[in-house]
Amino acid sequence: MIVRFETWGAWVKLESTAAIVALDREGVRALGLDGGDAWSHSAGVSSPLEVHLAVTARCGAGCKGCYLDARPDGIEPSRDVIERRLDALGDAGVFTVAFGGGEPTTRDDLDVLAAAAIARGMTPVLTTSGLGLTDARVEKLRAFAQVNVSYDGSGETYSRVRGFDGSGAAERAIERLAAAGVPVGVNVVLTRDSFGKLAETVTRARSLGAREAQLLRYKPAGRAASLDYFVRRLSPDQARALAPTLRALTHALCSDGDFHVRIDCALVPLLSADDALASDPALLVRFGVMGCEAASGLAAVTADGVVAPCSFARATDLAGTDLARDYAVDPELARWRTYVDAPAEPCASCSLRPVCKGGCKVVASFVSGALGPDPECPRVIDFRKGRAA
Amino acid sequence: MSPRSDCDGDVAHHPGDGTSATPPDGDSSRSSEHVLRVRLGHGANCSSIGSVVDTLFVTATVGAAVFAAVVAALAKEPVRVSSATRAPPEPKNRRERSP
Repeated sequence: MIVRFETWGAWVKLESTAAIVALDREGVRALGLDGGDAWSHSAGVSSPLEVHLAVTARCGAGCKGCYLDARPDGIEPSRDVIERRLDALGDAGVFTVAFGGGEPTTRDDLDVLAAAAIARGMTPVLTTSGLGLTDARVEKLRAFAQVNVSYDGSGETYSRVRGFDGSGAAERAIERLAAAGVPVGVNVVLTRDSFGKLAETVTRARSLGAREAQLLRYKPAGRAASLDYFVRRLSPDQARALAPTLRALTHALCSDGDFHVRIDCALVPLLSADDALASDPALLVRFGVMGCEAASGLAAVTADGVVAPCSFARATDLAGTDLARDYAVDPELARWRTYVDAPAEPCASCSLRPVCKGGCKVVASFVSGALGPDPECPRVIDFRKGRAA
Repeated sequence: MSPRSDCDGDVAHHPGDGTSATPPDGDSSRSSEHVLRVRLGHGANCSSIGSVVDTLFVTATVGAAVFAAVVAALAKEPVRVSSATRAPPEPKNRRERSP
């Protein structure tokens, strides 16, 4: 295990089982360790646990909602440049580095880069569209702890989300990865069109060999930052139906423990519509559910090498190679954290605030023009309706 | 004890070798109270951080088994301290953060 001291105890990355654990100080002492200087501070900004590293901005898929606005002629940093960025992430104590882009499998050195991440104490994972993922390219992915294939549904469902039907390629990629023994999951973007097909999509992914489905909220960034966003995002009724949908998926697909369902940070505020979950935030805390960790437990490094609060947010001026030194003091990153520390109502009094952390700031910024309560959170909608009445 | 790194070759601690307070009888329930959070799996999404949620809907018994497995792993695995461990900068007006 790798132990990273924090002011409250330590984060621990286990190696025999895929898990990251937060221990209090007593729990750390039980390992025979003491936090020393890290524990003498009552406060402090920690480094990210997870960093999303764009290893290319190149992609020919042309998905209409691409958050990066990736293009076939996008920049692609050299291996040396990426390794210097990995040096910085390792120095910062980052546990997980998620390779993305662009389409990362356009690179032919992913095996080397994955090994470089592991050598620096990090767990490498990767997201791909699956387009062009040949057996030879699969061989380059063996060192990754998991590879997720973007898969929003079959045929028409996929096409409605991305603007073309790449579902066949995605399905073949899932099968190839699974057959090669590479742990594979799927990323499913939830839009107004894909939500109703979710059970079918996830069941299909599981049958192809996926061991996990990560559900992603559609976000207004890159090519998706347009008026089109408002007709593609989940409807208010769909947002309220998320928790019951997750409950049903769990009972249908996860009972044997071989398949897991994840939600991304931006979906966490939608859980506020579920009375059982909203009344038991400690349950979400204990199982490590994370809402908006942008500029805190999560950061992104863009293809041109600068740090962003998350992959969807505008980049700061902080160079990725300076992340270990300046993450706590960069003013733009600090602005995001400051909002989370003192959010406006109804977030300030929300039971899920310790987990949700005020909802998706990218959505709030796009819809409302500033960091603020997530305007698509059911609780925020109810609060504003009540105030208007 | 000051935090130190063994990522670059220092000797690692091994729970149970005399430096660990893990109960020698393997009674993991005594140490699970110090586990604040468990994040399962390797989220492999490159654009937003993900969390396993099927554990929220399972029985308490299954949930307890997850924590027991984690505690067992904590008792067995050799310990390395991240080289990043150090006193963090303290910006003004910071409040204490929890995990």
